[in-house]
Amino acid sequence: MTEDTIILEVNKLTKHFPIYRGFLRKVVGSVQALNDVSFSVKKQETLGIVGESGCGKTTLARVMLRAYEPTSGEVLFNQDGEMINVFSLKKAELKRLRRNIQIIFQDPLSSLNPRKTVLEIIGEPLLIHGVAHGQELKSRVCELLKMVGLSVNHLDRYPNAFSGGQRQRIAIARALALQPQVVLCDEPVSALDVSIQAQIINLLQDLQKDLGLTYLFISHDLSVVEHISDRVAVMYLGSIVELAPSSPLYQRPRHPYTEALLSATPTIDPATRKKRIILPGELPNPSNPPPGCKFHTRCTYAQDVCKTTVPAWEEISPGHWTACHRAKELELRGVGELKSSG
Amino acid sequence: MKNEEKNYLLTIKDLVVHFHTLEGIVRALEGVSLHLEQGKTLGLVGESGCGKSVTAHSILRLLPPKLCKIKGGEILFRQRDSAEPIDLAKVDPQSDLIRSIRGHEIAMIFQEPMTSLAPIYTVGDQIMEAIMLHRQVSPEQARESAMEMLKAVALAENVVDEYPYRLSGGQRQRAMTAMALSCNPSLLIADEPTTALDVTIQAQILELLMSLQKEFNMAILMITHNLGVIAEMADEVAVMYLGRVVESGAIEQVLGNPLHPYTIGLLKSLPKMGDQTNRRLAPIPGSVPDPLAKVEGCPFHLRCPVYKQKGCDGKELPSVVEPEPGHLVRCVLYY
Repeated sequence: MTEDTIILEVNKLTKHFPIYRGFLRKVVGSVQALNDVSFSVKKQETLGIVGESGCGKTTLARVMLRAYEPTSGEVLFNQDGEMINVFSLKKAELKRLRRNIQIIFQDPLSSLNPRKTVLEIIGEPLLIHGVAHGQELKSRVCELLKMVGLSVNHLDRYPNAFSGGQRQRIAIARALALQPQVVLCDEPVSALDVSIQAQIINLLQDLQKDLGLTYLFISHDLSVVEHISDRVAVMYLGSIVELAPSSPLYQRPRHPYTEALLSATPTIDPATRKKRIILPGELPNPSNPPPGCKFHTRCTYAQDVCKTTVPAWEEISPGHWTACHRAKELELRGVGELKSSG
Repeated sequence: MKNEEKNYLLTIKDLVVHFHTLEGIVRALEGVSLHLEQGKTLGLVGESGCGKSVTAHSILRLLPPKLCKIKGGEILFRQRDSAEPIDLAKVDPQSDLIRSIRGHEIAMIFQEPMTSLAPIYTVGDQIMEAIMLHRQVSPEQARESAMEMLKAVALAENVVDEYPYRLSGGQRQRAMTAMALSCNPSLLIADEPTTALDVTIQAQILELLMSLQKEFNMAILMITHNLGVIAEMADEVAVMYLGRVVESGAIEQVLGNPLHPYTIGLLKSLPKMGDQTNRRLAPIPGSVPDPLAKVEGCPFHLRCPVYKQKGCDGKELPSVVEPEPGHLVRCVLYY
């Protein structure tokens, strides 16, 4: 394994959606969906991204694929040892890049065309990129179906004939058709029942091992993200507030928001009903975020400095990054301690 | 079910509900038995299509009467001022009796708070409607108590004049809860109350439900697919699969010492937070059978890892056994 090779680098990525109002469609403000987001992903690792709805997880995935144009910042992709900026590519180059970065969506019913058969759905990327056609296409699709654990007999069926888990398998086969290096998984298991969810997680992990894939795994479910990820980034209101290898992040979080998220997640251990940290209030409006640290309106540890100054993005211990004024002094509770205090 | 008739608030006995659809008969419930004590919380868990919501809707008789038939069983509910429980399964779903119970003695909160609140009335109007329907009060008094209820669920008083679209998901669920509790019900049915919400908001709502339960001494029937929510909220839990309760008991018994292979499978397929062993998840193989198909014998035998030929796939449904007091399981392994 070529460890530590960076395959994807995101630098100060910002995306603001303009808000139009009135007859002349004047721009009256903007929704700040992403603000100065920076991270890098190593080859064959899984980077988990967690956060609540509206924190910018999905926007991040879409901007990285250049489905939306960014406001500023860059996304660098390592193509055969050369870091190329996704945003400076011309159309034809972009098409070539997209062979290497694919995406799996949350709802497999709305992301599969109901009027196309499985063969057409999975074969479409192969046709578009001129990789295969005719009999070759069919045998390639059969291979992909076997790889994701579906039967070859399913080739001529339509998506409505499948259960949720099977549909997600089709979506995975489609994403892998072009043998990408990076797969962005946007809530791939959130719409599935728990027993099926485990099947898909195992499938994703097996495929990663066999094909050497790199995952960006977006989810709001902290336990799923911990299970599948090597490193985890926590997002709040368009920014990453903490980024660390998953075990230190869950055992010893350094940002109060991470602590609150961990504490709010219900666990199945009935002996340890936890003393929860209940965050007051709700997510502020992203078109008018609070000044200073964006989390200060809900943070139990906030001080005056948090209300005025934006905290710096610091490496608090090797590989453990956080943006909090009080990161060094606070003793925050991780998963283990939350249990014992119950 | 050896327990002699305790003073349960709600007792469901062998409830059978079938849907007559164009494609055939969907056997939604095939003999569900549950009971719930005053002031306690019963969790009902299972995957989609297992009949959790149908059970809840049958209690309030909210199922479409043309499509859906209660084929057998009893739903015994103890009304506030009477000693003898009434059988809701026999009540006409359009009668005045069930209307006086709905929203008054049994209230319900739904999963999607946007679709269950009327968009063209203010939150206050909707709460007042419930109050004035069941209590003899003037509009002014009703508005007064609506504002009181909003305060009880930690919403600002001026929410009374807001329209639902102005509220966030968590606020809507609070408003919904205020409406449900406005007539002080003795039973609250919560059908996936936090599934559409973020974890931090979910924690707020669960905390709210628990404190209101103490305050009003009401029983909660909590329906969810999230075992974590059940573990935090419920006193008792019933696990459903394909229209049957396969295991039930106190929360510590069922989650601490699961007996039915389905319950064991569910718990094993969940990633545990803070578990650093990085074990591989053990999913339940296969998927839930087609709802139109009739599964003979044990409903779970098609996916069961410890499937025993003998008695599992026969004509007979395994009977309920009680390996430890209060812990019931429907599986041939424990005969």
